[in-house]
Amino acid sequence: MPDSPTGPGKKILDQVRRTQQNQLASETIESPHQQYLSFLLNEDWYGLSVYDLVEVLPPPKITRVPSVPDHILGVINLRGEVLSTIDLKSFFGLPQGEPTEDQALIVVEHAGMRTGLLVDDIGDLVNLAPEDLNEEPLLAGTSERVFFEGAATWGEGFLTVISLEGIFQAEGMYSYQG
Amino acid sequence: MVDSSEAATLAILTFWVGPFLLGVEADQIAQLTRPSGQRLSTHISAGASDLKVMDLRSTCGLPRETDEEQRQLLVVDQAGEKVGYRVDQVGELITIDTAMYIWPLPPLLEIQKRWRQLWGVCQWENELVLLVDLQYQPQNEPKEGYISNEWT
Repeated sequence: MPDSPTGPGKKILDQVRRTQQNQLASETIESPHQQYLSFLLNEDWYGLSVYDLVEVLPPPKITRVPSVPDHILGVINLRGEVLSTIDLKSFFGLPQGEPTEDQALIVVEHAGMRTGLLVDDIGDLVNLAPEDLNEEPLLAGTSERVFFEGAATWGEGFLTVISLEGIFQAEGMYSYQG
Repeated sequence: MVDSSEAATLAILTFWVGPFLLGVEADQIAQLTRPSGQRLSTHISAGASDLKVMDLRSTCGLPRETDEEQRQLLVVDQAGEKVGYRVDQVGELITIDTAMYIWPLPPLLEIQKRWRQLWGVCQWENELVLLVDLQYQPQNEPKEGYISNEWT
């Protein structure tokens, strides 16, 4: 069973909490920027809104489940809550490389449901304004445009921001009535 | 399935199908047979009967085991019909606190699962056991894993 967030996730989450506290303290000042957690899939950087972020964990032991799509890795017990985990590379149709020691599980919450997303590495927090997302996202593999909010130039490359709404809508999450 | 008004624990028989650790409510098991057909235990006295057998390796998307002789058969009473489920290895009989260590499948899995008898998860020591309801009969679904009728 995974312990409390430690290691690489703790540093990021401390930064997220500080940022959220600062945003609450200055809520009268409207900022167009949003903050994204950057993460790596193969050699490309992606981003996830910190509003969807719950925590980042070293890859825990994942229990495989039979007869589910390949991108569903299985389930974990996160301090008494059983979560599904998704291999984002598989979901996006990206090639699978060898697992690295930098892999991490990003726990997100969307529409009241928590899910773990396996990624290759965690990067920095990135501030982007809506107008920064003016690049077309990399549509790798069989991915669809609906899975991404857009992309921004970032460093010498791009940061492609994923859309949890698009991803989970594709997974049928919104039709779930359980 | 779990009657919280009666008992706070549930007896679960664990078993392996390939790499998957699965569990079924022990009360569902009518017979447990060795490969030779010798019964290990019998909750319901039943004589020779026509038995429909499902191979859970097929249900789990796994290739057929070459060493069929070593496998075991869980027999359940499914709406008055005896059905055998062939598994790789029977594990242990465990007792689980229903309030603390049993959960429904998370929503994503509930939607995406193709094996309709899968319904929950329980924690046992350091493992998560996937719970199945072998008495549940999915409606209008292909009988995945069906092998043949056999005599026991």
